[in-house]
Amino acid sequence: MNKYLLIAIFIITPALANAKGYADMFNIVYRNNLYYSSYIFLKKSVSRGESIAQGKVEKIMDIVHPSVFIHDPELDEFVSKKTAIDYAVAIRRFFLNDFKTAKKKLIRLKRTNMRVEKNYILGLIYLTEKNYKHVANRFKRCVRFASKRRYTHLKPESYVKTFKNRCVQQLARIYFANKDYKRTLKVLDYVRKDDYIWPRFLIDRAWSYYWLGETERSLGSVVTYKAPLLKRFMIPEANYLRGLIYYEMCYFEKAENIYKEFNETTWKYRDVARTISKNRLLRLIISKKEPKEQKNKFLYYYLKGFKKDIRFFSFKQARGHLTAEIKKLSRVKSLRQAQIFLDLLYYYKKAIKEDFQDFLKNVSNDYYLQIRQMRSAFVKLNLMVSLKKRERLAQGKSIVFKDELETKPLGDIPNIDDKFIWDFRGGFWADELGDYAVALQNRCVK
Amino acid sequence: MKKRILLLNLIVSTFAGLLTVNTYASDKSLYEFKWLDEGEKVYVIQNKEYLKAGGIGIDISLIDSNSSPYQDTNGYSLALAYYLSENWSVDFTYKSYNNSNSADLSNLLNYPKGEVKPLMRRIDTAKLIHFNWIPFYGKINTFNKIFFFDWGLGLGYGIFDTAGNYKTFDDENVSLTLAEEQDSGFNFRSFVKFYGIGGLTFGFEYNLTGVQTIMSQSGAKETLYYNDIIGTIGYIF
Repeated sequence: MNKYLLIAIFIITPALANAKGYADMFNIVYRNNLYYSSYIFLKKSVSRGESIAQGKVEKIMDIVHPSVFIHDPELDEFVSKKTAIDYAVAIRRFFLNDFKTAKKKLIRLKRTNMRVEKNYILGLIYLTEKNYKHVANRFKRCVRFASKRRYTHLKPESYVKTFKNRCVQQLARIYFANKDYKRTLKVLDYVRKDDYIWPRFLIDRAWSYYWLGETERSLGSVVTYKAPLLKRFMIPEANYLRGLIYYEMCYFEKAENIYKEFNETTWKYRDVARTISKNRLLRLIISKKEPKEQKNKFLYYYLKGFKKDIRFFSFKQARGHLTAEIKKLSRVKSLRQAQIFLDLLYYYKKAIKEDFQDFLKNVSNDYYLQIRQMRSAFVKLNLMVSLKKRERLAQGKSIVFKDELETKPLGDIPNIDDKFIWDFRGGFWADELGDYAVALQNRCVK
Repeated sequence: MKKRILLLNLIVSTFAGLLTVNTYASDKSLYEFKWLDEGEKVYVIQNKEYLKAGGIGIDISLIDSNSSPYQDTNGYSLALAYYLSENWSVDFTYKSYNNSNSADLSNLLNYPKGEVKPLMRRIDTAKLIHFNWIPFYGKINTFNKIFFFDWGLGLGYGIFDTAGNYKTFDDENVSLTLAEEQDSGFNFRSFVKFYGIGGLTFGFEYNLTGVQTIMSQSGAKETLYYNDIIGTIGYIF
């Protein structure tokens, strides 16, 4: 769009607003792909009761970053009205913990492109209400609509799939909470291994196998985190589960070593996760170079696992859109009306950045808490190992454990699914990650 | 003929090669990774990517055959299969052979001192029912693509439309004349099927067929053995 057209828009905005209305202004700005600016006109035209084509409204709702809705108090004007921007209002109400209004608004949205997001948020709302039947239905719908949704350059396959997988994860966790572990595993199978979120589900799989009593497969799932490709996804909980299983199988040396390893590689750096600044976190996730300091490396690799998170790429995409729009408007910033728009766009940009930084801070705080909790769990585990040492001491044996590995025959591994075993000796294939069963015999059972 | 034997050897050796790559589970199927703890071993356990139990498959195939040294034979076949389970299937196959006189036969028929007629029999069509055992489901991992395949064996029985000249063989006044007959026989097949996009499959197979038919002037029946090499494209619903 050239500079003169922009000048024309902003000179005549007040006049047009009175004469032709904001809907026409919206159409002009929308045609020129100024989506965030269109959003401003959209609100004004909705406020005045002017109608705008549904498809265009949908597109704006789809493109504008949710943080803009969350931090837009002007949306409160529409709380009690039924409008075309109910999706935006619902998002804001949801984040303000006004679940009742958010639910009402989202349920009302019938023909919308945002069915994936709508069902995801409704699922979360029902989760707060502990209405598990509805939760499961909403997440199932989210998965179903994700498979039907068309990909666009604004909402590419990666975005839709990531959203779908979030719903899959929630669904799996509901089944897990209901102790339906087989179903949990079945649901988790919907996530393809080439999806970035898949490694995060390994721990869910491992716990499901664990509670099914299939310790070999549980161990196989968590051991996968040791693979070079997945090292950065290793979480303290996975290490704890490894330690626990080894302990329960009477491999005390291994359990002890995992505790030592946890202390050396994770516990030592816990404070970095707690004290790191929001700006530093943002720099770390954006950086393509590995930091030199070990403590920064520790968080860098943890954050690397979030580089394909929906929040990261929607943050980058929104910043790109806003920067482009700000650049265009800056050419005519001498006009008072344009300056008002520009200020709003800067405000949106700041809101998006701050929300993302808050997300990163939550991630790192959560990581810190995980480490603390796992440390407590490990201490208990270590105590149990120490008791075993005491028993040995009482029997006059050495207190140094030496595990002699006993291989479990294949036939002893229960076949709970249609499984096949491959014999690719000497090779490493990414498609096999996570499909392991550690062939260890339980030494406690003699 | 040499070409066919070579091709047969190639197929047999390919099967043998595949079998060493992928087999059913055994305790020897243990994987040793460098990133595992020392002495620890894992089984690699996967679910099937392609399931076919309860499915119906259709196959369209091209055949290269050697039913008679006096005929150049190729043809096509159509098959409809029902997968009873992942390991067993039953199929109905119709084969149609396209025969033409081979160079050997033309030379004999155009012999300068008079036509020389060999005693011969050709196969025109076959209608077969097979029971197939598909014990091996395997995969070939390349660096950016995985190819999944089935390997199986089948044994079938069928009716064959054949044509032979045993009735007029020793009649000097009658030139080479083939009379149509119907015979029965068995078919043994060994096949590989690769899975493509959707339910598409691509495969090749070797068939060894035995037809109980008249091969001598006396009219006594004996078994005519011949080989088919088949390339197949199919779809599993």
